[in-house]
Amino acid sequence: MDFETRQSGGTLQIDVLASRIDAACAIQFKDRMRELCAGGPARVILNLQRVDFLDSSGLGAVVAAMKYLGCDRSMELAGLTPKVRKVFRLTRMDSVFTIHASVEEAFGNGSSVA
Amino acid sequence: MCKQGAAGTTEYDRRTRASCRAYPYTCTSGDTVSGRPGKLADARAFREGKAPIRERITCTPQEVRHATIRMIQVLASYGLSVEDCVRAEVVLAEVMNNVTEHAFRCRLPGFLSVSILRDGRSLCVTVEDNGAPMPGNCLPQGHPQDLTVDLGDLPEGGFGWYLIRELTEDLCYQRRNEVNLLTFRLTTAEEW
Repeated sequence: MDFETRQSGGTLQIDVLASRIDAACAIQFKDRMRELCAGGPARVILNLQRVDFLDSSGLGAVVAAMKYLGCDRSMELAGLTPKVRKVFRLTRMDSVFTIHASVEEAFGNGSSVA
Repeated sequence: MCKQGAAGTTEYDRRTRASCRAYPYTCTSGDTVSGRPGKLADARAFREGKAPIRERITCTPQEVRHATIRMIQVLASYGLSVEDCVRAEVVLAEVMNNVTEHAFRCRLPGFLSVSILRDGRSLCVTVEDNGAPMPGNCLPQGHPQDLTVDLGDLPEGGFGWYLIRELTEDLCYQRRNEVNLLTFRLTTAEEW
């Protein structure tokens, strides 16, 4: 499962390059996110722009990644595609995460979001 | 009490059996065929409700992924709208993943088969597997999760049945001859 990361100031941007976060890769996703986030900046933006599909296992893995960061750091989401957005909306998880339309917007609004 | 377990008593059940009688029973414990792509009905026969789309896979997350993609590609090519394909993809993946994770937890390899038959504005879906029965022979309720909790207590699972129940109609589970039989309808939002 491939990711790309870049760090800018106090923000770590993680681009998920896989097209699906599902039961077949949820554990791997969780493990890799822990590695990528370890010791990094307080603010993490998870860019899901290339993720076409996310199932409940994938959703759980994203939640687990946010919980791993704890209360002193934050994880925000960006670039949700239609199917991914639908799963977040149906499960009401869109109320738990800060969600940006795009990474650009996330950086543009960086100072104003929690 | 388990309403879903009341097999053979509802109008839906009778209609489902009538409209889905094209489904042969294919998933037996002695079967050794594994992981091949399902035989796909041609578009016209499917659209007329005369032939189902079928998949039959070994129960692994990878096979579930590939079968989900294949079925959605076929449904899209048969004219199902993008919005309806999204709902179908979420439900089919959740249902098959549930079988893979729970019905075959202690017994591998398992097999499952999926049939999708058009019935007017609905997709009539039947999922069969020869794994362990649902606990209490009853479908999980799938309540919405409580999200008004501390960060550390946020749920990381338990979304699957909620999604399935939100997106389907006439969900029905039966345990019959050592086989789990799940039927439901996906009512399409758009004419097609």
